[in-house]
Amino acid sequence: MTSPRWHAGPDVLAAYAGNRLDDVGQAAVETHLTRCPTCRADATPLVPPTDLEPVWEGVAVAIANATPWPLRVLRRLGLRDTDLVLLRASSDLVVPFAVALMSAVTFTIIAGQVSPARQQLLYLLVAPLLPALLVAGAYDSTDPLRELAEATSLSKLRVALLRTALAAAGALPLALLMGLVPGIGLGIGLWLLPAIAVSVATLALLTWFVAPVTLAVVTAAWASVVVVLGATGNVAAASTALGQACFAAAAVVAALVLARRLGLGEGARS
Amino acid sequence: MNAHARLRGVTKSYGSTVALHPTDLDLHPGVTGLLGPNGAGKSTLLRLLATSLTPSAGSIDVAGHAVTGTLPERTEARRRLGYLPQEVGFPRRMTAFGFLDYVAVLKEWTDTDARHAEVRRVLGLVDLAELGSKRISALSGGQRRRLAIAQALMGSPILVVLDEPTTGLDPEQRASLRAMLSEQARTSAVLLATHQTEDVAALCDRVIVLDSGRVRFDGRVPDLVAMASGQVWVGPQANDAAVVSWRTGTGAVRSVGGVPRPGSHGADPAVEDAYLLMRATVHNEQGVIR
Repeated sequence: MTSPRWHAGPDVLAAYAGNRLDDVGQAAVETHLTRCPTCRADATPLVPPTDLEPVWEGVAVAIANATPWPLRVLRRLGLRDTDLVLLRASSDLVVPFAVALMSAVTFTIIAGQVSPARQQLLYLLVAPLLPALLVAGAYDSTDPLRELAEATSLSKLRVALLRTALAAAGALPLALLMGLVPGIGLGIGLWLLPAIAVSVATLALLTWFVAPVTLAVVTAAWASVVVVLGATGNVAAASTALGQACFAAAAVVAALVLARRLGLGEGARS
Repeated sequence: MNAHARLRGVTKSYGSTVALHPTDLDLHPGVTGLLGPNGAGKSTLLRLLATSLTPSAGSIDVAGHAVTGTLPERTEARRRLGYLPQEVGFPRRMTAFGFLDYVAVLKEWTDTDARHAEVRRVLGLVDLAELGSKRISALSGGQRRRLAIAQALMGSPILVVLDEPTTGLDPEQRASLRAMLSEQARTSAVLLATHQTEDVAALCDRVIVLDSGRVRFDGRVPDLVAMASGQVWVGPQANDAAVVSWRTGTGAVRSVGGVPRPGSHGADPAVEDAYLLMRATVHNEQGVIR
């Protein structure tokens, strides 16, 4: 590349560095600077070097906080930025996350050992609740930021539901892998599906109703499902492939509704 | 002027142990220091104000919102609150920026640009602007403490509750923190528990001395210091029956309370002297010592 035969004068360079030219002028000088080492050398001292520091710090922060791929997928599916921050922080809390994950897997192993013949109506009633309680208990007992988080205003129910969905979704592939072990069976992971479906459905309903109403609606809906299964003598159907496929479908529908609702946006604090 | 925070008849008991006896307090803009020995009830009082403990009796409100009321009222109070617990167990995998971003989300900053701008602002306030990308595990103890303070100042809350904020800070950082808190206190009520009487002397408009769960003094710092007037001596030997005495760097002995020996002369009292005298008085009343 050859250097241009003309150069921008000191006044023009000073005006460019001070962003005092119009858009066309700024663009013209910028283009010239990319080709002219002489003017570039003259312009460099006119630009305060410290201006770049926040930019570099911003780049460093962005790199250090790069979103892991599962969360990038959720972002593409419409999950809100604040929920991504919560999910990421929940998994960065290594000990609580590990305890929550293991609790969820342990739950599925125990649940998987309950044969349809012995399956009780009451057990089915609390099945979606147990993983949520285990995950909440795991974070409550081991979260190093528990006291600090308690004093903040975000709904604790929302945080607990997100963590339940995260831990249950994280435990699902683990449980399915364990299901490959002879004697355990692939079915053990399926008991997590009602917990995921109910957690996500509750999150979706929270975008319409306040927490007490939401919990009442979810409890009533799940209790109705159980009562209908019990009344028709089909309690065991919940653990069949068809029953669990229904839970999976319900979870997907709830997730789509949630993504749609969050896409509409909620009141932002700024 | 309405108080930013108000306590009325607040008590806290754990079984048969009373951690805080009935307490009334109004907190206005300014810095209030909370002094007291370990186990005096300072952290209990702070945690009650920070909504992480529920009082056994009495009422607390922040900006007119009842902490002890319904969940929506408590949430409104929390929106106006910044809290630094005595110990913050940091998740070491997080970066400094990521940690503050997480706390900002917990404080309902939903707009990403505004939230990130606020995170950068408080990082700058505590001189950590260039360490946002560092993992917390790579920060020093003082830097972590400043990071914890930064989260408490996020959103310029009207009530800032700080449990021993200067622990682990070097003198320069403590001076910087004092400047920051005095600026914050122009619009916020800042309550800080500390064992550092020099922080109280340098920073606080008001001081509360708590002992055995009871408020023993609540007033201006000069009024507390005045209580030790004429009771601090410097001489070749310790006073008879001095509350406390120690040999200073000059070789002279400084005594608080007691009867001065010949050759002693009076000295200007400090917050620490008044605090030690008050502690001795409380213990005498209770028959704990002497």
